[in-house]
Amino acid sequence: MKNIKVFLTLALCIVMLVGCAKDNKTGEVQPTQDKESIITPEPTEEVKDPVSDTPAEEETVPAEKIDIRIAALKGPTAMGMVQVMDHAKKQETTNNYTFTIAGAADEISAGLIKGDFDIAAVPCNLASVLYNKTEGQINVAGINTLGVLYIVETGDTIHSVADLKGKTIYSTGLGTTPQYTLNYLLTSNGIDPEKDVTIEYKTEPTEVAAILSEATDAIAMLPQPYVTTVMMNNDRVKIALNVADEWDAISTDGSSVVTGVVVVRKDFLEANKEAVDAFLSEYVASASFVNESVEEASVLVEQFDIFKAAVAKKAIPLCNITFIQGDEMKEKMSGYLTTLFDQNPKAVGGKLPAEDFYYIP
Amino acid sequence: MKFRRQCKKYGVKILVLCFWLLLWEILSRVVNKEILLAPPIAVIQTLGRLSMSLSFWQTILFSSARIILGFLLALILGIAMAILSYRSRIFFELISPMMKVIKATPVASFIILALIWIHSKNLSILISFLMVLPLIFTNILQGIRSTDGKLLQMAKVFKISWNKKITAIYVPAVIPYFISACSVGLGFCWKAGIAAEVIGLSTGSIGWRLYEAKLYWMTKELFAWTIVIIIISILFEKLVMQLIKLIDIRGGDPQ
Amino acid sequence: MKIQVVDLSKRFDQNQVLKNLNITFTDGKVNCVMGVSGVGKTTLINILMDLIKQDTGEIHGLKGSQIAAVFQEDRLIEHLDAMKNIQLVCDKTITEEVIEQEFRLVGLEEYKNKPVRELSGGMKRRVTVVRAILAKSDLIIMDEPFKGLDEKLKKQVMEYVRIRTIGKTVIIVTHEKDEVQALGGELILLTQDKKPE
Repeated sequence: MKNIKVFLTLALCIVMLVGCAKDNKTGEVQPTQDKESIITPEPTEEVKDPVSDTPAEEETVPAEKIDIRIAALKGPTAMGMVQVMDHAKKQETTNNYTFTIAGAADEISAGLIKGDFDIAAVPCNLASVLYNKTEGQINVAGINTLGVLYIVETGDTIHSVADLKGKTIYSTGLGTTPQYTLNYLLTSNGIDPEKDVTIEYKTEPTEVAAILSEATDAIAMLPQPYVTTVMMNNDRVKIALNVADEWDAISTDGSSVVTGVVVVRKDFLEANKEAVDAFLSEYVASASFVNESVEEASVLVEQFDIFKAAVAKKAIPLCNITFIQGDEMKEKMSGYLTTLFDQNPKAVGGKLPAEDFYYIP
Repeated sequence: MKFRRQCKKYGVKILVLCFWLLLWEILSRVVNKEILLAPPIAVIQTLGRLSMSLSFWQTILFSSARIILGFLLALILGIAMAILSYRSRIFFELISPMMKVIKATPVASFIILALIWIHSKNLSILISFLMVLPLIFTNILQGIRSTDGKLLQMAKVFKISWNKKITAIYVPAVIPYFISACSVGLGFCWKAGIAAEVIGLSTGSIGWRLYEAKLYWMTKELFAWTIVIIIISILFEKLVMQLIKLIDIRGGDPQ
Repeated sequence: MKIQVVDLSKRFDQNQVLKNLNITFTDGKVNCVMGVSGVGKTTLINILMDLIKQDTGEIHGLKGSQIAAVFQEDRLIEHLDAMKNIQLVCDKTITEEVIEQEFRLVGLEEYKNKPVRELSGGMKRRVTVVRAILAKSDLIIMDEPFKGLDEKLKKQVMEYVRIRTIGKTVIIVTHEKDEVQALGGELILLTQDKKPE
């Protein structure tokens, strides 16, 4: 008798498990917080010009500012928004912005998924991963940083990508985008990354810096701001190639090296399109400001705990800080993502994102 | 009768497993975001899919071989050092503090320091070795010391040869300590070895797959690989315990 | 070769256990050492077996000797069976059949393949006695070998020992006078102050 009981309970459990599992695919995303839906501007007119600073609707002037929580990675991709951060502190922005500068991308990703952040500056491929893994709940609104990778050397032998043939290159980022970017660059210039060069991947940029300080003819690939810090500590190191420029030179599909993008949660975007557009235009202004007034911007960069001002001052001009939206964004990004996808589909989340990934205001 | 009892025993185990799986399923539906907590069926499906690829098995072999190697090295060296410490006071006094330090140092410190000297590929050998060595040393030494002095006296009087002494008197005394050290050490070395692979980014290893799953938010794969690690750890422990059982029976045989 | 103890002294902390002890043991005979508890019997034989060192005095006649012993505690390998325990101390000439035969003489034949830990106190004792008898030796030392045996069994084992030790030099530590008689041994009495031969 006891045996039958055990068997029945067993069978019941298994049936429940299997039965339950089927439904999971249609599980719904958690609803966003209530606060945002209080003020929902009516989308009667479409605003094509992103430079406009004021919301297009005069009829529904927001009675109160809404809160937008924005996250950024501590690094070059955060520098472009320092003016927005400054204005937000002084309450001069369209809405209330709270910024979180995170040390690692995981924190931002988790926050976006859970709904703790509304907008975030993340690495380009991560945006695609999140889009895929959340089944379209994350959209990209703009590119904020193009290429930050540079080939540096302590000698004077590299003047073109072809010169890298037969050499040893030290780099970081094994199994991640720098590797794929470099591989693409090499193959597009007729160099086999496996056979024609030796690429030694280290875990930390400091290890690469150490090698550069010892050897007289070492070649390395590093991202900003490490290039700047290494050069500040070792005057024998010079920039040989700008990876982004070299990519653009051989690019046939309008793609570029895209390092950082700004993403927004889809349901937040749908509920607060006006506010998001406002933020984006403020960002455009901020990016221009950072590129034009490097000194002032560096002070802000240090103030908001991103980098030391001295490093920022040298690095900003080399970080390709920008804000590109719309079709140009889509063109540059989709090409870059395709290159990544060709080398490792996992790097973009398993498949290339569809049209609805790109938010074109 | 025995068959029914066996059925009941396994039946209960399966029931318990189903209970926890159900709980997991419920939790994942509460969280309702696969990317944060993947549900069990999806994970099992992913596991099934992964197990079809050759690289899956190659990865398992990569990590297992290294961690097991580390464990075996610790076993051999640990036993040797224990025997030497038993015979020589000086050796014991020299070795003992080193063992204490290794035991007290956090795994992460070892990993970071080790990466300076060795290639990340072989990191897990060193780390699992370091985890297990002090354990084996301490336990085996204790076991040898716990040998019945009276039996040793008897052996001295009867002038029993040293190899008979070892198999009939020392080994049976040491075996319980050995078993205890092994069962604890096995769990340790797996956990520490995989952690080393994750922190050290050893390509081709299970740890690397975990890191990659985290990097690209492949939550199902993350859970799937974790299950793989758990299964291997359990299997490995069972295997070693079986092997020890064999020695145990023979360990008592003087001829 | 006469076994002799000359001016043997041994002290443990404050306790002078043996003081200038002089004994000559008779060759080829059973020497029964008797005395009250604490008088030093076990200490004496521990010194003879070279398990502890005396403070002063000499032992003659034991150099290079092989000793077989029955200890106060059984000192058997618990997880091995009775047969294997005997085989552990004997050489290959003592075959299984020989051991079986001995076991029969002391009533242990049914238990020869049982692990020793499963045997009763009296059975274990008998195993240790057989072990001492069968092991190759120049001297057999037995420390209270019949302890824990009931009347009937004791008679049987004592007779076994008597027969088996004919012509051998044996030193037996005992409390009981009747054992001395049954074994046909020489009595050596140890007392507190007077330590006669």
